[in-house]
Amino acid sequence: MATDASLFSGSMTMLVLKLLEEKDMYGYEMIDTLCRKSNNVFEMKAGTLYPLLHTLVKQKCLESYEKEVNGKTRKYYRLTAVGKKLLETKQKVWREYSEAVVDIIGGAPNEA
Amino acid sequence: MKPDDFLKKATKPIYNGQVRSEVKEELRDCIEDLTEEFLSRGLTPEEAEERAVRQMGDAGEIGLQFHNVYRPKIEWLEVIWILGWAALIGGLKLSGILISPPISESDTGLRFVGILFLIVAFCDSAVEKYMDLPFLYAWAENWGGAGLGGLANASLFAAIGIGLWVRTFQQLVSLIVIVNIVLQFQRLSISRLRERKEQKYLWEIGVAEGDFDYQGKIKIDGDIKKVRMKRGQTAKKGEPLIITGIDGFVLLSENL
Repeated sequence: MATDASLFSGSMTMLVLKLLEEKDMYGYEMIDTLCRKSNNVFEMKAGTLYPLLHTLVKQKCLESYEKEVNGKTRKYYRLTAVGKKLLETKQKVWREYSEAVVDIIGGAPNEA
Repeated sequence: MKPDDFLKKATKPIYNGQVRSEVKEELRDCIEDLTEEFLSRGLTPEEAEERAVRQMGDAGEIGLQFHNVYRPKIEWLEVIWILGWAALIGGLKLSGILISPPISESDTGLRFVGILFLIVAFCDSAVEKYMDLPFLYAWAENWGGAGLGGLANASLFAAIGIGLWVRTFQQLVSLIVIVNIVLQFQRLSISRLRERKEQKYLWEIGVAEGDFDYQGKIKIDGDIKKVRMKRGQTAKKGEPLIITGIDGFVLLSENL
């Protein structure tokens, strides 16, 4: 399925924060999880993800730490209280926005 | 592109060496994970590696983004710029090319101009940092078309001030060091203030005080603050706006 990239980029911060709300993850794990959860709709470029992660760390929305898994040292990211607050705001905005869009274009395709 | 070339290009713009090597390792891990993924899908090792690097995205663009995240704290470009120009101008004066020796008898006017340049430099440097202007901002705004005017910035003024004031090589070296330290201290203090302001308001939500489409005021945390709207967006009085960053000392806002 072809996806509008601009639609995706605006909500990427929210998606990353949401993934980390469930559990701590390292970069590639996020790309992989997002891809599987969205049935390959969200194919996030690593080059977009990592600068975003580092920005969120600088903004104190995330913290990072190193952990060894299967003999490999990974850099994990964890959501902070500031990050949780930002996620709540972003989700609220997104819900309002998507509800407004659904109100206009109609609900699920099988109802149309 | 080979993974090593990609990693070099993507991390080169990061000034801090330690951060650069950490980012490099993190990106390398990702390339390795992607390579394994493509290998498991049946690609040859060469194909898998190439696909993995391609999947990472544009190395130059990534480098630029990381550079913006990790801007250098001490602005070495400024330091070197001052050093270079001050050495040149001071050298011209001390070697008797600018004025005829003995220097200490004929440089009163030059020294006075030098002090004026230094005063202007300190004021201008504060303004440049306050507005977060790029280093050769005058050039960027096309003053370059006006010849050397494009090179104008606080650092150049400071270097001219130093060069015109000094009477010995020893004074030249000392003054370059002192002016650089004071200027960097001034600039760091200003960026600290800005970071603190950004941290205080980032992701906070305020209410627009009036209708505006570029710059206007919002009430946030009980304070009235100036904000600039995201390009193409407009604010309506009473509507909520979210703070997304800072430009100079002006908060940036978007519609919710």
